[in-house]
Amino acid sequence: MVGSNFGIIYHNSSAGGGGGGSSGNHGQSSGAGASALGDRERSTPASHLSDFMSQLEEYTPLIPDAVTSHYLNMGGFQADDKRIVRLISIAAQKYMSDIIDDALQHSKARTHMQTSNTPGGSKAKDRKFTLTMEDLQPALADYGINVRKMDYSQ
Amino acid sequence: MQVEHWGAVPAEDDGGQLTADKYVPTAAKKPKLDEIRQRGEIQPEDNHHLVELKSSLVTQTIEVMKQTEVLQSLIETYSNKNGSSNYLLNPCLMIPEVDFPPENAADLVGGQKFQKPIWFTPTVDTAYSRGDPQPYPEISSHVCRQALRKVMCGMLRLAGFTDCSESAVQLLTDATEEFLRSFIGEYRGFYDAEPRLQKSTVLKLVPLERAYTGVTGTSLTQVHNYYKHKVMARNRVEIGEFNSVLQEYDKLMKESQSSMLHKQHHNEFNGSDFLNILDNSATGSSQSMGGHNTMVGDMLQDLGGSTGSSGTVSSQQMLYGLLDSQISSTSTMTTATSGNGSANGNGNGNGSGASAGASGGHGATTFHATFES
Repeated sequence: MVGSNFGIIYHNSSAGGGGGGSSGNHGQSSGAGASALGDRERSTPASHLSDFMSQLEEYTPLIPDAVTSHYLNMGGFQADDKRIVRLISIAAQKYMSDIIDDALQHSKARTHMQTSNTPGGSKAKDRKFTLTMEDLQPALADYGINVRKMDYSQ
Repeated sequence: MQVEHWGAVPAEDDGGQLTADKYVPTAAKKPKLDEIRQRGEIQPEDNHHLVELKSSLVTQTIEVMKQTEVLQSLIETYSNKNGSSNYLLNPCLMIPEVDFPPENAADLVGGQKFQKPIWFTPTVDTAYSRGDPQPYPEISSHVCRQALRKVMCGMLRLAGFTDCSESAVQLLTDATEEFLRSFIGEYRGFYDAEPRLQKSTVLKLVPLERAYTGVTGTSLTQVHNYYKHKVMARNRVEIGEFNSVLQEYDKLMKESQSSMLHKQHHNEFNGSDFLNILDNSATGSSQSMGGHNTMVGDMLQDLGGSTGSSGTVSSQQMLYGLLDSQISSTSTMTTATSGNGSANGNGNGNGSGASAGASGGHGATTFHATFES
């Protein structure tokens, strides 16, 4: 992403290195951060991620943590680590935000087409965007979610 | 030959060998029940939990967006752009004063944290950073879906949509639920693939990162970039736009007031009389009016059919046009219709904002909801 200051280049192969311990240990090691081992681990992406995860307290997600914990419980987890729950909440919010942004682009393109075809489109109307299934379907399709109407409604 | 039957009770399980700790004698059950009753009635467990959909940054952004819309619609209502940036004020309209609470545009983000790369920010030792266990209230799937629905409405408004169809919100809610299920399913899959973690229910970070990469193809660290560039930067941009529009509106209002004072200084027209004219035209009363009023009142009567209450707006609009020529010919000034004008402007602005809120399942503006599970 342009303008990112996170600066982490993620490698799949190194993710399971020294950072494979429990999440609680990550938080403690990042809090102390004094040992040589800790310094070496700091260079691994998992350590960066655990540091990041420990600082998520000020990232307030729109999706409540209680909702995420519900789905984690349904998946067989004991959702009592607030940091990971919050990380999942914000990750889900990001995913949906990307879809909505795409839908907005589709809506803008469609509105622009209609305005250019219709003479005398007002500026006030240009600022209003209505989300319709027509815009949402292609956006979801880009993320692998295919929407089809039932046979009787086609 | 002894035949072994299925379900046969073994001979050694015959009665008489039960110890006292393995059964409760029937005679002791009644006193035990009385003892429990004496402790008090067993109260049902309180299942009321408050699930707050509260993100102050997003709420502020949406609120500021609505305020900007209100101001822009007021500017469009009360000004005419004449090619240049100067406003040609309609002398019949007096610009209303707006009063938005200053805390709506306050800086909610501590700039320190998000200015620097995140590893330069030392981790503060708190219960959160230590990962102390915290139980969450158990809520039902139905409540979760309702909460997600409101979240989607807020995100739609934040993205810039002002309205949405019901089915689209439903589809987005389904998509969010599906994402959470598939993501957590993938997460569980990494646990199942590793014998050491198969029976574990503790949340671990590395499998989560792998699962997220498997589902979305990106790292979880991108979440930071999303929050910084899409949520916080959007908040700053909207506040900046609001401040610039507010300055523009203040400028317009000062122009209006100065021109009004200038004309009042010359004592050219009594605006309150103009208000009376409008009231009379709307109600159709035939009170006597004097001076200019009589003249304009006659003109109103000449408009024909403008005395009915249903034609108030149109008759007033016609009256504005009529008075424009009247003012130019008689060099009069009006201060009227500020009440009507402000109501009109606010109505437009609030209407546009409320349409998203209403269509968004009344969750776009305030992220507080109480769910009973």
